[in-house]
Amino acid sequence: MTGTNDSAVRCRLRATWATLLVLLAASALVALVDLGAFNLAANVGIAVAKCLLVGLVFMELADAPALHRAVAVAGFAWLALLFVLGAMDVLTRTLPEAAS
Amino acid sequence: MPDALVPSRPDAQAAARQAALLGMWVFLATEVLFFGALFAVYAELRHAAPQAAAAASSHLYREVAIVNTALLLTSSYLVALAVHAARAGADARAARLLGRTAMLGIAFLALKGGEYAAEYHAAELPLPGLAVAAPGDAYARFVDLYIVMTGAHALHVAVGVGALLAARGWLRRGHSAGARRVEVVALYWHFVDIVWVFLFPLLYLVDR
Repeated sequence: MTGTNDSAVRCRLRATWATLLVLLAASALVALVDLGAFNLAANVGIAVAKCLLVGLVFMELADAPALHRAVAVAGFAWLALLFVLGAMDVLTRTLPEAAS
Repeated sequence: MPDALVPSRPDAQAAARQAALLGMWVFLATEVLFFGALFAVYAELRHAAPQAAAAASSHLYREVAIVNTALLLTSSYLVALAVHAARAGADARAARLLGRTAMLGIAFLALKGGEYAAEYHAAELPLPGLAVAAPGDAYARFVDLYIVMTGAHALHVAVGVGALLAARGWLRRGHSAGARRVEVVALYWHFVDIVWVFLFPLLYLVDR
């Protein structure tokens, strides 16, 4: 391993860590403001961004073999299916009054 | 067997590494569904009783959770550095980084334990003789989910700390598969971090 490559990797990891802490500060700050439904959207959006950073950089999914990436995506794909099917009642049922 | 069919030693080691990492990814996919089922129950409760969820969430220790999030994010960074060092053959440095990662994990558990103790004294926890709410009460159900989800996560942190210390031991003893094992343990640790990244806002920041 060359010295340049070594410092480039370390720099990338440090930048990712700093970004993660900035995102944490962002979620703490967003919590101080009442944004209604946007609070939940911001919280989940920030969590997804953190998850992607950890997954792609720290867990190296960005450079992983296709099979490893497929397994990682499959886990979340089954989870998405679980959420959609589990929310069927909420997504489809409405009272007659509410529908009119 | 002709020589051409016998994998060379570096090839065999690379294949063993890929297999070990794939095994951990498959295990983590099952973990996504384990925690995912709990998140699905959470989503249903929060949809059905948003006010009760917000009221219960406002009693949690948000500042402690922010510190704990910073601890786990930092620990993920340190274990990523440990993987990098182990691959480069810098075993002593990697072992040191693994030790620091484990210490952050222990600090996380200590803070979480402090939260549980305070919640026990406030009679919030679902324990026989302590739980005063009616079964099915939405506020109490949120507290139950908080305990189940953070408890399952804390168990994972504890297992992760054990795995980190084991990996540190393999490196120190100069185990031939030490670097590969560090990579596998690091994947598990990052996953534990990711679960917390979602638990933190969904449990602690509901009333906002």
